[in-house]
Amino acid sequence: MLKAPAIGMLIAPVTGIVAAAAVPMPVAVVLVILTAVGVWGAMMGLRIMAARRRLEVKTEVLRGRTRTLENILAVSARINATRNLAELADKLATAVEEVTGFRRVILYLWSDATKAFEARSFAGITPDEQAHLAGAQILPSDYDELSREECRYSNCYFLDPPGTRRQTVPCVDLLPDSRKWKTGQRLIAPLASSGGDVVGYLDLAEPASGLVPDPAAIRQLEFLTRQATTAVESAEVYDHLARKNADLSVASEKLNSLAEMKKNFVANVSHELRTPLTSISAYTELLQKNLNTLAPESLDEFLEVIHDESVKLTGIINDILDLSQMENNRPSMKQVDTDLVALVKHLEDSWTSRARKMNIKFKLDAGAEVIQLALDPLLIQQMLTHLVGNAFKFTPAGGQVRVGLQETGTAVCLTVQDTGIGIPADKLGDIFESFYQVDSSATRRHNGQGVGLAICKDIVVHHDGRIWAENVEPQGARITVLLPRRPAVLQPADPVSLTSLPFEAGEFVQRLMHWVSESLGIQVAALMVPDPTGNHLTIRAAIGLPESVVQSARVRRGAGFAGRVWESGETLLVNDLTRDTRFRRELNEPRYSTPSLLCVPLKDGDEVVAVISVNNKVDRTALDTDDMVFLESLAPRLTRLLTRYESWQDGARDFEAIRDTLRSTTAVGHMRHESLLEVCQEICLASARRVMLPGDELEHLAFSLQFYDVGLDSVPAQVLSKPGRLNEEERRHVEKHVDAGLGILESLQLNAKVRQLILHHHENFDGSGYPVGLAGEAIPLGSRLIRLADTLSSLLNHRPWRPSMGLDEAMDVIRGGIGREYCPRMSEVFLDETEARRQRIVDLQDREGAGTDLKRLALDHGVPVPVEA
Amino acid sequence: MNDYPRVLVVDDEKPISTLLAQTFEQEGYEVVNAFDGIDCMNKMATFRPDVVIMDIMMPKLDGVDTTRLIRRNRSYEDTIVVALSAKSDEETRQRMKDAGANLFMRKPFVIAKLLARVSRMLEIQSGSR
Repeated sequence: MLKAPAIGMLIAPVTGIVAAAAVPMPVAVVLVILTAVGVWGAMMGLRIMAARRRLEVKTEVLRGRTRTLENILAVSARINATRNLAELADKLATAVEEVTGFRRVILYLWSDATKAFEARSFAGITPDEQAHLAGAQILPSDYDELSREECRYSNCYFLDPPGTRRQTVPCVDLLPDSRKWKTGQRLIAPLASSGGDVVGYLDLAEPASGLVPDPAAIRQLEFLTRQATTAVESAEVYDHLARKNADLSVASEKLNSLAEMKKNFVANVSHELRTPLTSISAYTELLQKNLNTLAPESLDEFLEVIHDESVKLTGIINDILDLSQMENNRPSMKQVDTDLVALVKHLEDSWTSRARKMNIKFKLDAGAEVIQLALDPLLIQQMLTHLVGNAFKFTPAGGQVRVGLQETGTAVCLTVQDTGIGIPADKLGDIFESFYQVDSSATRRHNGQGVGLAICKDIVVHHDGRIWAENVEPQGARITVLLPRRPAVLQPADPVSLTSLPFEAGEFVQRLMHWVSESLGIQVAALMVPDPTGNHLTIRAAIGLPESVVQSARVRRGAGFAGRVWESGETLLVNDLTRDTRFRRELNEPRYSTPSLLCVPLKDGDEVVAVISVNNKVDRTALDTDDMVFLESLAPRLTRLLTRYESWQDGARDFEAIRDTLRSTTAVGHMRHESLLEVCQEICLASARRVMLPGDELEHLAFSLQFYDVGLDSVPAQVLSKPGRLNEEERRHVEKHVDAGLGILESLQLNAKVRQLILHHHENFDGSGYPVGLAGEAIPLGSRLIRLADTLSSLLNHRPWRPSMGLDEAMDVIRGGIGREYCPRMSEVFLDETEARRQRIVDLQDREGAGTDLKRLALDHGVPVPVEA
Repeated sequence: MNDYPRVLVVDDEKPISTLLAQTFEQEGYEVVNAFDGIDCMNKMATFRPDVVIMDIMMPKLDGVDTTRLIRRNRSYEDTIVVALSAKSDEETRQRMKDAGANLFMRKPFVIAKLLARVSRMLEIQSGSR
């Protein structure tokens, strides 16, 4: 008895009238009625269970369909990424086989050379057959035979086995028997460009299911062929351009400044070599001739000249070898952790003694005792020798040469300054090019080889650094070298994504990290993001961390510093790790060279999308609240940059987004009204045919109907499921779903017409709709029809804010909105087509148990789970 | 005026200019050294050489421009200019010829050959006079 009210409440929507009538009756009657209601309730319970089972079966079907969609999208992404025509052709046949389930696939592509279609790739075809097919040419007249109008369904052609009468129509209404695929039957799917040119076609046979594909499968196939057409067309253009480019580059080689430089290189090198060689050979000649008559002093003098010049020659040869080695992609260099201060000090002695000989002052300013840096010590030593040697060369007696060494946030700054002749302003940028000399005559005066600075630049570039020259007051020049502490290490965005992180995205994140570390003056910074499982943080990009750490780091939610920040969503600032009892364990981590760190969450709403962790201030001080406030103030901007960048620039991410959205939308949103939705779509398309919408627009409409409301997923669930009226803010949320949907569909490279249809599907006929507020005939016809179909399917189904309506009631609602929400002309046709399907709708509503309280299906890791409200 | 032919050696490279001066002196020439183009023009006026041994890569004024200046002065019309350069590419050769050099020899050179050529040119010159 205690349970009775509960059951009563449970079944209240259905038995409300009965229950209401029961209240004033005598107790006995109430008992009888309650018993009756109890039995009824039990029956309802059974019905609910049956409905749930049906839903589970349906879920399976939907998941299958989602998988197909995923496949199509994956395949589209793959073929769109292929630029080489031959490679693309190879991929296509396999892709089609994979997605459509046809066991025999032949791809024919038009060849301009032979003026015929040629079989370019195969799936499920024996090698013998392939050889046979590859030789055959399908002339345009043959193709016309394959694409006869009476065989057409949508944009495909069904060819019956030779000699049989045509009868195959891919229609859902046909019984499975008549949908059986006959041996010898073929399906031709043309690859037709938007201009109508047929660039090729697919010859398909033997579906794995053994059945003629249904309209949905045909739509999928056509979606794929459209993607393939675009890919083939762009690959053709690309191939063409690549060939053109190759020709052009041969022709333009002479104009190429690089080639010019190489030419000068040879001329200059030979000149550099010949100058000492001239002295050597001339003096040797003189020696040979006059050996007997030469005075001993002259002999000494001659030999000294020969010796000096050979030393010079050897130096030049070494320089040239170094340079060419660097130009040959530097195989032998490796970077090791080195103390730059020690390295400079090691050279100091030789510089000081040289300075004394030349009567020049030498000074070394090292800003720190130790500056650790990953570098190639031999190369850096070579660079230092060149730069300082150069400074000595251009500094007259009585002048000064200074070498400076400072740390900045992300780099070490090395300067070599002299009080010499300086560098003409217009030559400042050129002096690091191979064999460039400000004044070719300067070589003579200073024994310069012109190779040194070019080598320095190569060394700096190899360390991902920068080098530049400037003049200083009152006189002299300064060369500055910036060596980054360690190039930012980037992780691929997601190990399972189809494409790796595109270059620009990587560059972008790297810049972001540099910016952060530079602004804060810190040496170590890491950007950590949750991995796909959501259990761990992995490092997406880092500065100042070894690559091995970046690759292997995994931080559990709630563990370590970043894990805690991820869990709590709150900034963590630790002044002194050694004194903070909370973090004893983490102290062992070797990468914290200063006992202070700062960890800030990047939040999108309440969700922590990333954690930025920084430590090791350059000046060795502890990170303080100023740093914290600063980084926190950067956080929202960083989040915005990251999320926006990733959603717009990263194709792979877009793909993930679409996949996820489609998965959840199909599973959650469409779950309950799958079949009713299909009928509504059918009504919509039938109406479109009635008003003589042209074939291609029908196609656009059919496509739009599949996807027009994917954006609903962007609307918070509590808004979508809110019983009762929406407030202003919630309404705005809902209205944004149109734009959100188009954003999600962005990467499908939607046809402009499809975009229009989806964009305007919530416009009202009187101009009061959204997002644009178009009115009357200005709203695309297809959008007006989608509006009607959307309304009908929504009314026929249960919504959290109202129960489902019967068909008559729903049709009345639409009639009531004619001229206001709905286009009068379209409504008339639409209602007419609806009426024609009355029985099916009523049956479906009944079968799907409309009116029970099964409400919504939630998703967890892609597995739909029924949830009872 | 003595009868020894006069040679002006123009080269900024010390070992080479010393060597050339010694060699020509041994052969009985009167020799003066100049170390750049401007130096050369100054000494042209005072020394009035019969032969100029001209380097190309030099400070202040290079060999090509110096030769051009020499040729612009009618009084140096008969002066023999021998270009001697480590820059031996066709373009440099042509520029030197256009500037008015009588002979182009590339470095490194054989001293005996240089001497023979110079004396041969002087013979032709005196014969035609």
